[in-house]
Amino acid sequence: MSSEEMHIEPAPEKGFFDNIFPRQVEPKGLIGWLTTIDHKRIGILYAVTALFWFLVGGLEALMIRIQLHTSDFRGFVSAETYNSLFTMHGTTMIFLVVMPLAVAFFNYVMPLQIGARDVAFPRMNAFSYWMFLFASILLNMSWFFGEAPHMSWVGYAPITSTEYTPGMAGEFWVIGLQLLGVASIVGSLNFITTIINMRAPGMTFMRMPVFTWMTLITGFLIILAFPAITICLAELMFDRLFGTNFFEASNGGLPILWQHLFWVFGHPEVYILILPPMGMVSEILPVFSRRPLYGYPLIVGSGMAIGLMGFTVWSHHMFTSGLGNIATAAFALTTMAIAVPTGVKIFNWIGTLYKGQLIMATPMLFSLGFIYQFMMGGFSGLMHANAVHDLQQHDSYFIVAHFHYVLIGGALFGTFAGLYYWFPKITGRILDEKKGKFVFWFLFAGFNLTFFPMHWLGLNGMPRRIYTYSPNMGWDTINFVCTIGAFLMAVAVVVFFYDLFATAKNGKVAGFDPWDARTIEWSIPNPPPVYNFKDTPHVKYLDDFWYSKYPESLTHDDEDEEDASHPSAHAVEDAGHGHHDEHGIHMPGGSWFPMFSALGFCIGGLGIVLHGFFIPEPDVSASMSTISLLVREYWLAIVGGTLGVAGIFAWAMEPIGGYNIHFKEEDNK
Amino acid sequence: MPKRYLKAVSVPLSRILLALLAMSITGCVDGVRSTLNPLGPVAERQMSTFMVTLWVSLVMFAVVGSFLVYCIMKFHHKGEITKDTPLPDQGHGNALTEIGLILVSVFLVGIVAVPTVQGVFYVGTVPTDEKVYEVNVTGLQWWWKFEYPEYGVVTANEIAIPAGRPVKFNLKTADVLHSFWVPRLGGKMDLNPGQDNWLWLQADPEMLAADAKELSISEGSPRWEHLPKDYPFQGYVLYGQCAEYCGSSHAFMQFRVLVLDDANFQKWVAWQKSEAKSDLPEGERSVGQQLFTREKCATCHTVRGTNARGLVGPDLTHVGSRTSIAAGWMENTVENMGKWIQNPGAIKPENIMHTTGYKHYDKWGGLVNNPQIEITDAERDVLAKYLYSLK
Repeated sequence: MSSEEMHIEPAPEKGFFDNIFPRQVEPKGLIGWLTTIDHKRIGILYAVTALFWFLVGGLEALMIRIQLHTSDFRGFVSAETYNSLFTMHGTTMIFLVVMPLAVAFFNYVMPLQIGARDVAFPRMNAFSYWMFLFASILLNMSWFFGEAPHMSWVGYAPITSTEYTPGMAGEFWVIGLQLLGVASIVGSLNFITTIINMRAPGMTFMRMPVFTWMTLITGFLIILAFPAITICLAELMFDRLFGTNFFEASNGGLPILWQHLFWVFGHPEVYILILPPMGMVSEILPVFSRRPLYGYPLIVGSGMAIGLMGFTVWSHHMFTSGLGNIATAAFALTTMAIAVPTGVKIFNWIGTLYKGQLIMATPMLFSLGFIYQFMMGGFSGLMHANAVHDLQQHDSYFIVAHFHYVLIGGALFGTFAGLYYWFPKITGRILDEKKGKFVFWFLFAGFNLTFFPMHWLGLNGMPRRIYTYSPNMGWDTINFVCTIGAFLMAVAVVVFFYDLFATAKNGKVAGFDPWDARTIEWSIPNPPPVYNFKDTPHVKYLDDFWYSKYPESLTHDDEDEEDASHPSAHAVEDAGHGHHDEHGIHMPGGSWFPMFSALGFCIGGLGIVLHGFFIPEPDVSASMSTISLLVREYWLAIVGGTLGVAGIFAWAMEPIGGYNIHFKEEDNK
Repeated sequence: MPKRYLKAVSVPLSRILLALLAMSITGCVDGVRSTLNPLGPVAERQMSTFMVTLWVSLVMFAVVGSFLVYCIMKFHHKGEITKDTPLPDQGHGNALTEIGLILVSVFLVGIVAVPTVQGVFYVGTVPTDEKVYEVNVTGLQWWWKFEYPEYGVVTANEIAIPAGRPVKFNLKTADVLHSFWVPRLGGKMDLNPGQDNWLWLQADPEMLAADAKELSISEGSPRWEHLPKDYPFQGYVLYGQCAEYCGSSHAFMQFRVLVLDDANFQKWVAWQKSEAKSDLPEGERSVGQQLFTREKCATCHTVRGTNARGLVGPDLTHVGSRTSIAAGWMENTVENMGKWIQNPGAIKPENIMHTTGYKHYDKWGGLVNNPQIEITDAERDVLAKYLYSLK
């Protein structure tokens, strides 16, 4: 839609706060990005930020592999730095890369898939992003203070106590993760509300694209799982800052409590990381096989089953912590049970390929790589569920191999498939096929070369998180092979980023519906106009867009479905909400306050990390009351928190503002 | 284009993968710490249940994987897709297939579940039909303290167990989490503050004789050289390591398990209970002993039979007779002993000896390393020689 065909009219309202931070009418330039509340722009911001951290986490991984390439090697980084590297590599890849990349797609794709104008709470959405950005910066600022967290990404008590981790490293980690948790929970509430309330008329739950389904399930997982880590992080923060004894055994605390709380979060977190890429792959396989997804209800149902069962297995991370035989056996069985719904997904993906017309474009290659590698990770997962031998595998390189098969081979390959698939939707340009295939094959080869041999290392007794190892263990050759593999992956990543930039700048224009896709986000131009759908779509089928193109492919089952379609959908249409009317499309204005609040809270977080710094002279602490002492020590935290809360009030008081888009008469059909 | 990459990359890759897979399946993993080459009933039980899981996985992988490859080969569409290209089959599911596959999955999981639950109880129950030897293990940053309460034996980083006898290890930590792991004998167990964890292991003499030749030590083997002729040390040395991340020098927190037959084990116990005996001439020994006290080594270390009675660091009464120093990291030689004394921080970063016994923090809580132990090179050599002589 070019601007000649429509005109824009600012909404008249103006309130008190508009005089301080005026709502941006038509966002342009840098201010447009800073104040944006458009789900598409926020999605892009999420993706760019996450890809940046992907490079940082990748560099950390390369340094780890250089350090381990041979035995008794001490020349490259110190043991302390190495411990920071693997801690920050894990934290970065999980919280700053895989999760936010999925959130980028939730933001960009999900509202388009359900035919919505935006998410339910656009400013909250912007707030999530800014929280994520500032918290990720806060976490990584630790490198510049020489205080990068070094207690491993699971931070098992009591190594996180001030006794064993003095200094700011602990606070950077605790505060950084808590702020990131806020971003995740706020985002999930938003996505859940959006999916439940804002689906286009006719889009019943069982006509929802699988990716949207996985967004919904992941949203519930996040709001149920994150409170657990928030609790244990808060307890740890109190232990560290105010001398409580949640995890201090000598004063009656329970270090094991940390492990339980952490994994009550941590295991669902694994599914939070893998379900969105599963959703992406479930979108891509049917498109490039030109067949409907095999067993759609089972794929959706198994996603729900996996999500639910994910809450019953946390102690399988703790088989070596002395649970006792009954608990060990019980958690081994619940863990094995998850293999069934996971297997269902794999069977159905392969069933989609069977009898299809497979088009081997890059998204398809990544999806197939995903199936193969996720299957491998699934099988080694089943081997961990064998609690007898898990005592051998636990904390060895076998585990490292397993979760990289799931997180790189699975989650990252799935996300790359999604990136190649939706890149034309986002930029209007299609990523280069030749480079795409190069990236896929190098990543595939490098990945398997790095991580498959690690199974062998683990079974040969190499523990994880070690800085170096003795020469007489026989691990040298295989470790060297792993390091070569890591560099192959690095080559692929460099080409990938080059391709991203080159294509975004002057790549091949994708045109309308470049993949002959199935879901309604492809029924609008690439990239979509700011208002998404001019007319609210009316959905009759699962894969509605496909059947609008190929009505002959409707089977008898689909016909029945149409007859039973929701009467309420028609009611909505009759009421006139389905089309834009003489008022045009109202678009909200941009807002400064989401960023302002997020910045306030993150400054507050920094104030907690740096407590004790910037204390005014002269030192009169001896004569001060407890409250005054606290205020004196945490003044920056108080200032930051106040700014954050003030930002939320201002945001609540902001007028609606924005503008109306009117189309010329001939378009208004 | 893709075919070229496919050949260039996937052919050598698949060869490596296949070779590794073959190695893992046949159990031909002859690493000194291989979990698939067990030397006792616990490790064997763990390996055999693993093999059940492995075979179930491999069969599934072969079936599902080949069907995946078949689909890719068979239904790969070559050439352009145009408006006239007929659509492929548009079916979207078959209830019978789905139910069948789910039932097959449940059945396969059941095959794995039964030996798993049986194995959990086997591994998690100490045998009651014979005498169980008990070892108290204490994990510290970054070394191991071992005690036989029954015999009054205290040692560090190296423990002997009698072959063919069940041994119960009572696990405690003095600081953070550690995990006790001897891969050839069995899986690991964490040392958790405020918790009484334990683990039982047993070394099987026949398995040792058949599979552990490279680990055996007897008179004439290189590691024998520093031992006195009457040292009861015909047996095997197994490698263990801390498996739970425990701070800066986690990688260097290793230990060794000597497996001895009953007679040798009893001699070993008597040897460990005895006071320190040095084979140095009296003059050299007393100079070394005085230096040990003067340089505050005795504040932390015990050498029974002398006035060194510190309880912070490892008991050094028989340090010269151990197969390793620095918690399994270095072979036991005079030179290594000297290197360790001179700069322990270069071998085990941030260890408490490096900071001469004090953890000292600056205003912001950062660890300030004190200077290394201040002795001359000559004094270092005397100390090293003295400690090495403590057999």
